[in-house]
This record gives sequence, structure tokens and C-alpha cells, in this order.
Amino acid sequence: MHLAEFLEELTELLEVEEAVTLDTSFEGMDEYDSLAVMSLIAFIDENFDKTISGEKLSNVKGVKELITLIGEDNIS
Amino acid sequence: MTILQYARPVIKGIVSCYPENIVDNLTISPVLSLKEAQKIVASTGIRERRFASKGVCASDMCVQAGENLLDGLNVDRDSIDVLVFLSQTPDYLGVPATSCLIQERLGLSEETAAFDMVLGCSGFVYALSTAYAYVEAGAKRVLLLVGETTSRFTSLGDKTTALLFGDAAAALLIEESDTESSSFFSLKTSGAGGQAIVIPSGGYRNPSTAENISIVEHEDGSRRGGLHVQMDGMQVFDFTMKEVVKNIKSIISHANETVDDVDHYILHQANKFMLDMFLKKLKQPAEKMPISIDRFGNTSTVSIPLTITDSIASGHGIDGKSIFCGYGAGLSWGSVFLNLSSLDYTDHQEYKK
Repeated sequence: MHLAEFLEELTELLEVEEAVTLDTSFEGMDEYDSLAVMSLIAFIDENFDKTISGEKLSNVKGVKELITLIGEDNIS
Repeated sequence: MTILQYARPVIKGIVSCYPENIVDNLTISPVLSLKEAQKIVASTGIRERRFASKGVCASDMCVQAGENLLDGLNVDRDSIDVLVFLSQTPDYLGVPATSCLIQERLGLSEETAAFDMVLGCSGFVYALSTAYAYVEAGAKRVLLLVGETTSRFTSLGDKTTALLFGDAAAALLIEESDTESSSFFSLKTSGAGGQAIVIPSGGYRNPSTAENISIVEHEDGSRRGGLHVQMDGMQVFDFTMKEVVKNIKSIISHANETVDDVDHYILHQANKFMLDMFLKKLKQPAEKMPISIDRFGNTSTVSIPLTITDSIASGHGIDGKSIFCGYGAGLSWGSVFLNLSSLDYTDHQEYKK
């Protein structure tokens, strides 16, 4: 998946007003709640064929760390 | 556990019974804004639920469902050898067992063996395997009653569980089939996750005290006491993602069938989002997985039979090769592959006082 598309999908999934960028932090972001994490698990599972636990995703600090977790090779 | 295989027991009838009171999930919780409630409803798929009226027990709904079932199948009450009552909300805290009281209320013979079972949302599959085992060992008929008044142990002020659980009951008759009808069960446990869904007080580990039963505010703004259920939603979600589809696929392969051969996937109704994920992972069409959670919520042990009668009542027949899968508190889970062409009678009705 292209990075731009990934960021766009993430913006939609988190239902945030400001577009998500590489530098977006999830810390203190109200929208990054357990429901968003569940949607994220489904999104990653569907697009990258990878199951990442909610526990791990809940502790992700920002977009960069999320991309590392999914695998940098998968997002260009 | 190893795979349990039964050759002859089948389900002859199912009757579900649900309370008349409809609860609107968008407005019921005092700690959730309309926007928050809408967001949760969109994810869980639970638009409304049923709550039992004050004074109505799980056993009361079970008795109504049981009478309807025995009358509907025209079964001689003296032919019920075993009565099993599965519930987390019995009439009394263990003494006496609610099943004994139901034996008398349903006018069953004193020859009937009656006992209670307790398990969370996986319980239905476990209790069904117990009923099957009794029939395989010679019992003529087993009456399986499942009922929950989960609303009694849920705090509407708890952000995680406020909009989840609903009340309902079901009665099933299990007997020997004239022809061979193999069923396969797989039952599993992970007590390491025992605290993931828990009612912390009121048992003998932490007996009720004025302090632990009082309702207090928690870190996330939720309000609940020690007699209310509490849940680590993320831990439970991770567990279901890891185990449910794996368990279903394994029982299908033990039955020498394929995922596509199964006509109906009747899964515990915990969360619509999760059910959609399971459907995707199984690569099956939505018609194969009936849904009742939108109108009844998570009715714990009752959700599988309730979903069957709901589907039939709304004109979508359930017949043929089926999978049931239950998963929840314990942590505990289990699946069964069976054939439902044995069903002679079903009903889906409101509780009448």
C-alpha cells in the first residue's frame, strides 16, 4: 500500500478532522480509543494479512511506530 | 480437550423466551453522551436489548420456554430423564440448585436427574455436550434450559459493558435419533485469562462487604460496584481473534467436512464487529451467519439458541450442517459441528407474566 493511501485510510478510520501524517502522535488523542484499535486490527488484517493484538496496538505511540509494527516493506 | 464425538443424540426442538421490555442503547447509559453511544452501537451492532422486569428470574423465562417446548413437541413429561439448567444468574447462590425447583415447576417426574451448570458465554456448547453425553449413555430425553438475567449484574454506568448485555432464556429437547447423526465437539479453557471478565465480589473469594459492593467511580469515568461485571474488552477481543476461527476450522476438519460445506454458522453474539471479522476469515457469505445481536444484545449462554429461533421466526430457515461456537469468560470456548435437520419444533416468544 502507498503511504499516502495508508495515511488517508487512517484519517478516515480514526474519524479525525486533521489529516493524519507520519508525525501524528496517538498519545493523548481521544479518537485513538479501544473502538478505533478494533477497527485498526480489522484494517491491518484485511490489507496486510497480519493479526496484531489490541494490547500491542493500544500502546503504539504514533504513526511511525504503527508502520514499523505493520512492517515498513508493506507501506511505501 | 480431545474431540468428543456422539453418534445418536439430536436436538428435537428449541423455544426461546425474551423479556418484553425493550432498552434503547442510544439513551440508556448515564455516563455516555449520545455521540459516544452512537459510536459504540455502530461498532457492536447492538441497537436495543431486552431487560427482564423486576422480580423476573432466568428460571421464570426458562419455565415458560420449557412448557411451550414440551407442549409443542407433545412430550410425555415422565419421559424427561435429565434436566440441565445452565445460568450465571440462578434463583439462589447455589443452594438449592435452581434445576431442582424447575423440576417441580414443570411437573417432571421424581425420576428426573436435575442439576445446574455454570459457565460464561461458551456455556451453551458445553451444556449441549453434557446433554448429548447423557443421551448417548442411555437417557431417553434431556431437557436443557439456559437462561440469563445479565442486566442484574451490569452497571449502566460502566463504559465498557453498559451497552452490551441482554436478558433471555431458551429450552431445548435432546433425544436419540432413529438414524445416525454424528456430532463433534471441541471444548477449551484458558484460566490464565480468568480476570478478563469477572464479577469481583459476592462469592466466597471476596464475600460482599458494605465497602466492596458500593458503587465507585473508576479511572475511565465508569461507575460500578463489586457485584457488577467488569471486562477487559481488549484482552477478550484479542482472545477471540486468536482462538475462535481456529477452533471452528479444527472441528470442521475433524468432522471431515469443509468450511464451504457448512450451511449455518451460529456463533455467540458478542459483538457484530467481531462476527463480521469471523465471517471474512471464514470467507463465507453473510447469509450463513444469522445475527440477532442488533435486537437482543449479548445474551451470554442464550445467544446461540436465541439466534436460531430468531432466524427461523423471521423466515430464514435453519436446517442441515451447522456450527455453533461459544466463547467468553473463563476464558473458555468451544465449538460443535452438528446437523439441525432433526428440529421438529421451534418457537420464539415474549415472556408473559
